[in-house]
Amino acid sequence: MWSKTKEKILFTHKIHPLEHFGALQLFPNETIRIVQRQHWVVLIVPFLVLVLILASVSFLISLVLQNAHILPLSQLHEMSTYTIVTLLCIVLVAGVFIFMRWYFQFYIITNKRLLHIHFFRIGGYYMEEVFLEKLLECEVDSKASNFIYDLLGIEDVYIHFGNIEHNEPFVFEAPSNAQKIEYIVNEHSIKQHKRTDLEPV
Amino acid sequence: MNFIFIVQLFFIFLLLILYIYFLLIVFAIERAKRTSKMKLPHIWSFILIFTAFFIPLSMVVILLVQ
Repeated sequence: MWSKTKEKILFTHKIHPLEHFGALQLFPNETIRIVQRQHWVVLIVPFLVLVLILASVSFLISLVLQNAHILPLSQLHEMSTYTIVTLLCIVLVAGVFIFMRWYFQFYIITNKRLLHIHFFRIGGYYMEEVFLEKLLECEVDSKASNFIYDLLGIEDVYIHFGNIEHNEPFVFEAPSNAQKIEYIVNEHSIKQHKRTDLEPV
Repeated sequence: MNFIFIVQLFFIFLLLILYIYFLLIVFAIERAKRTSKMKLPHIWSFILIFTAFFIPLSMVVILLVQ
């Protein structure tokens, strides 16, 4: 009997829920406030570019081969079989790479840190972190990186620091919910200001 | 050596490089799964297994089609 549980096991398309994110080693009294991936639209653009490039290349090859009359018809069929099979393999491998890069990349905000982690890297492991305790003066800025993202409301969040050694901003590139990130960082900044104002001089 | 044989060799070489790259990706995925403690969606596990068999199968097909 084909039970519902079997169906669930075989055809679950749901990604792993981020509330159970357990990979990060937390400091004492540190709690995770938000974990986000990049927006899923980010996945579509490289897929489309890849498919377009491959389609145009295969179209050009077939045009050249048909018009040049280099090969007899039977060999032309063989060539097209090789091309289709190879293109399928390229799409599969590139698709896996693009998806995994998206799936294992996280933006995390805890009550003490901002983090950007790449778990999926062919060589090594990438983690960028900024401690919020140092973040007394910060400027949160969000803008879309292109016209389509602007239409869809997908924004990059830039956090510029006033009192930190490095001048480069911390960037959340096309996170799934930019507004929430902006809200949390602003909230933290206001709290820090209140705390410093209350401290006796 | 005729033209079609050279083309066959070219495609097999291309697929071989692609397969090596795919294996590197698989190792990277395993490491990512271990470090992030996250599971892959089932559909992607199927795609990985399918790709792992599809590329060598394509090489065999290219070798055998005459």
